[in-house]
Amino acid sequence: MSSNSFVRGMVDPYRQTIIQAAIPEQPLESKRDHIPFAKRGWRRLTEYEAVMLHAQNSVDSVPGSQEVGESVQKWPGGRPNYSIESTAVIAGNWFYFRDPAKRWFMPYVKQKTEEGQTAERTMKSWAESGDAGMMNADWRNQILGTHYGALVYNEYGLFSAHSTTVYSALSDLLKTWISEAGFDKNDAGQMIQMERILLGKLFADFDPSLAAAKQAWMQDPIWQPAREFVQHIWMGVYDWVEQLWAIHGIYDHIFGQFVRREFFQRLAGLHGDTLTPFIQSQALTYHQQASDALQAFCVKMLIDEEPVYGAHNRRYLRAWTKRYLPGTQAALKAFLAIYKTLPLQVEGITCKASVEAAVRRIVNDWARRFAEPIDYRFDAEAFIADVMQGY
Amino acid sequence: MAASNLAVKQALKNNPAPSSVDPQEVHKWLQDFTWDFKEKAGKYPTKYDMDVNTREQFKLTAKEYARMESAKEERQFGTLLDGLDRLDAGNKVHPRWGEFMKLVANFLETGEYGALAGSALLWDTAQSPEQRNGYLAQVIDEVRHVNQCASVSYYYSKHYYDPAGFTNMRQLRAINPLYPGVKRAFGEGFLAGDAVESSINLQLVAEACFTNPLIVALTEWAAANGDEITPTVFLSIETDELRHMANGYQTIVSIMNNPDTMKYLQTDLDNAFWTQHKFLTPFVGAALEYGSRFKVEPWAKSWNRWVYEDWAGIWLGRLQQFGLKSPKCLADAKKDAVWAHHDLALLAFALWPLTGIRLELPDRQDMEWFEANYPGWYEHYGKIYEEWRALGFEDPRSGFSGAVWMLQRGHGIFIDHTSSLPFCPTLGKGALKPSFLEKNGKRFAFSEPHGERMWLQEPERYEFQNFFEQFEGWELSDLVKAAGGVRSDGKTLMAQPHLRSTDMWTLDDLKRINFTVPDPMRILNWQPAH
Ligand SMILES: [Fe+2]
Ligand SMILES: [Fe+2]
Repeated sequence: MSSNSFVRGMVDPYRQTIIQAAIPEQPLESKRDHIPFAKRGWRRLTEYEAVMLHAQNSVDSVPGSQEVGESVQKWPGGRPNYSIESTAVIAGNWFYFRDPAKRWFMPYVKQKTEEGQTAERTMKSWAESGDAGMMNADWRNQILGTHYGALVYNEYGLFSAHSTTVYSALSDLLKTWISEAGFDKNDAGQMIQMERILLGKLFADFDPSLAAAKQAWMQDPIWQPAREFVQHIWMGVYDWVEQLWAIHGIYDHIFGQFVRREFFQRLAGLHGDTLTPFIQSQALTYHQQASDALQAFCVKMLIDEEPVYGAHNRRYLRAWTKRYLPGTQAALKAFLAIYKTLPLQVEGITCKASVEAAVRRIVNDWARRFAEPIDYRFDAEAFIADVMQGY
Repeated sequence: MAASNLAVKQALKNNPAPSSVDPQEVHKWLQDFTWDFKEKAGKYPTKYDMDVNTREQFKLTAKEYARMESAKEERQFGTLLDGLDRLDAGNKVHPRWGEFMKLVANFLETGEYGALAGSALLWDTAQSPEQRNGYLAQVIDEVRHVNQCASVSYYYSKHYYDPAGFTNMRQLRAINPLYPGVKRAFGEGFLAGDAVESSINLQLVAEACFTNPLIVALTEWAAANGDEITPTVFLSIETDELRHMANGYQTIVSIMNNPDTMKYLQTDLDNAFWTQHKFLTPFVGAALEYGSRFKVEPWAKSWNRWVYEDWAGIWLGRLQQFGLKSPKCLADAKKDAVWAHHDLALLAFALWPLTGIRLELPDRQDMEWFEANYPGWYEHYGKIYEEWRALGFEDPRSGFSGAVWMLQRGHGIFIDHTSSLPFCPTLGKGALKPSFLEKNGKRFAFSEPHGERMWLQEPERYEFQNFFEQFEGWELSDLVKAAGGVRSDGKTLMAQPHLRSTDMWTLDDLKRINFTVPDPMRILNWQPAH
């Protein structure tokens, strides 16, 4: 604190007299619309927009920006930040994006806090009330001990890939959503490890360390195409929209959803594991929110409601889909080998027909959400048939 | 015993059948989350060498982070939307202060936004998972801080008696000659360059050095002038800053493993200090002392304690072990801390129609305070303000403009090319040593040698059109209108040279000044006298 003590003007009668004398009798302006120049995403300006939209000190080469002129300090060599060359897609207004979940900071951390508290209570009751004892020991030690741990690396790698997409994103509401999506990925990895630590406390034979998991991630054929995909998307792609599309629109919507939902969530119950489905349901929520926002960005903003460059953008999204679908296909195909290692084989769940149905669910959902809106034609049956060879 | 082990022990004690996991136990595994592969590096690599084994001291998981932060959010918004609403807080603020908050909240919002992008850059460049986790938390914090600064403007726009400018500063700032200075220091200084250089600008200087004088002093001055809105929000921002300062410290720790790169560090620190100081020192000082009716501690004094003694002495002292010395430009900064904000205020008054806010010239009471705390102030600035007032500074029918007054007397206003801030070589009392250099047929003005040196070394980093070049040829009232600086009656200006509700200036009054934005580098052909 400063060395001066000071009087609080709001509650000091003398100061308030002076202040009130300086305040006009009537408000000087009747219009209180916030950021009146900004296009509204909904009928009325939302709090989500009020606290972020057009906060970016932009440059007038970024369409939709309020600024006049350019950035003042450049990178060594002269490259500016916020440059539209950071992606191949083009927008007539980069400030058009709205996250359908309207997550600004407060609702975002509030949601996560509630999830954290629910997780804490669920884990406690799960551990204390005997649910834990139902779990198949082989599932625990082999699948959760190794492969569930390997999923940490998948989530961590995808989290890492978000850094430069946050950095490069060309407007404030985009940056907000992408940082939240990256933070969720980090969270998803940490929650898996949290569950594994609890298992380590409850079961003397469960090793919560990541040694075996990392080995599987690095060497087990089940994970190799996934690892290569993640590495590439993390370090090998510089276009930030391409990255986001490849992560949330393709890889995580097909491979990620399959691993989390069709494999861990579905099969855990079969093995008496009621905790994993709970933990993964949070990651599924995060993906749902990320893919909703990605749709709002890539489909709604860049194609459907983009008056000039929609066709151009569609071409790029199709090309990127074509580029990243094979890697995703390979990752899923390799992953299906995991079914051979399952402690329990149950007709109607782990049999070939059921797994194929699971793959089909995933692929059809993907096609509906991401392939059809960009008129991407692909042969779902060929895709499924190829993936099933991994089973 | 490490805190994490204690926490585990405590948890075990509370739960004999261990059924919970402390976030710290999860954090312990973070360093194992990464793996090596051939291509792995930063996409924006640094010239330094950031150690993959660097630890991070706050050790928050995502869920734990959210828990802490949402508690703060609840408290803050509870106070704002419940407590302060009931007290009619928006109408208890002295207009001088309320008006300056239009700039302060917005300019700091720009700073928070730059910090967001800069932390994302560090998250890319750092290789240690713990460090990445810490930088990531800062990214999300800075989203919070943008939202918070914006909430101050949003709250004011709903509850204060003059919402004009609070509602639209994100647009209006485009014509503010001070705003490019914010962009340079915060909007780009935090993120447009080597990640470690950005970290030094953001965390080691702006946060570790200027957060205290900024937030502590600002909230005291705010409260003194009837504003409880700003302290409610800014003190809550402050609670995140300790982690950010620690991030900055860890950045330095992480690069110590490679002595070869240490040669860059002193230069980067010197440049970063000057870059941040150059904007923050005058701007904050002017906001506090010219945006207040009730004064608190003189800015030069606060600055001296926080910047000179605390930061340059104690904080940098901790880095001495790595061979870092306090910046060479510190002595000039100290001189600026006394005078630069008065220089900037003079220019803000001269250019008031472009600021978007209602300003009031210092009156007798202010003048006494200024003279008592800055001996020599009256002879230099006080007399100018008295003359301006007599010539009709406040009177909408006068056609008077401080800027025109200056130009007619040969007091050119130039843009310092490195900081992008305006300065007047002949009327400034800060650490000025102007120079005018030519490159590729274009002339550039510099207010002092530190910025000049930065430009000489890396001119390609400062290739842009400055304020005068952008708007050269624009008639003043047209410019204000184009930027949205007119009230809903279609003619009265948002900016005013006084605080009264009568005699407010309109577009026509502004036209009467008959001022077209010049490019002083061309018309004045000004050369230094010495
Ligand atoms: Fe901040
Ligand atoms: Fe910060």
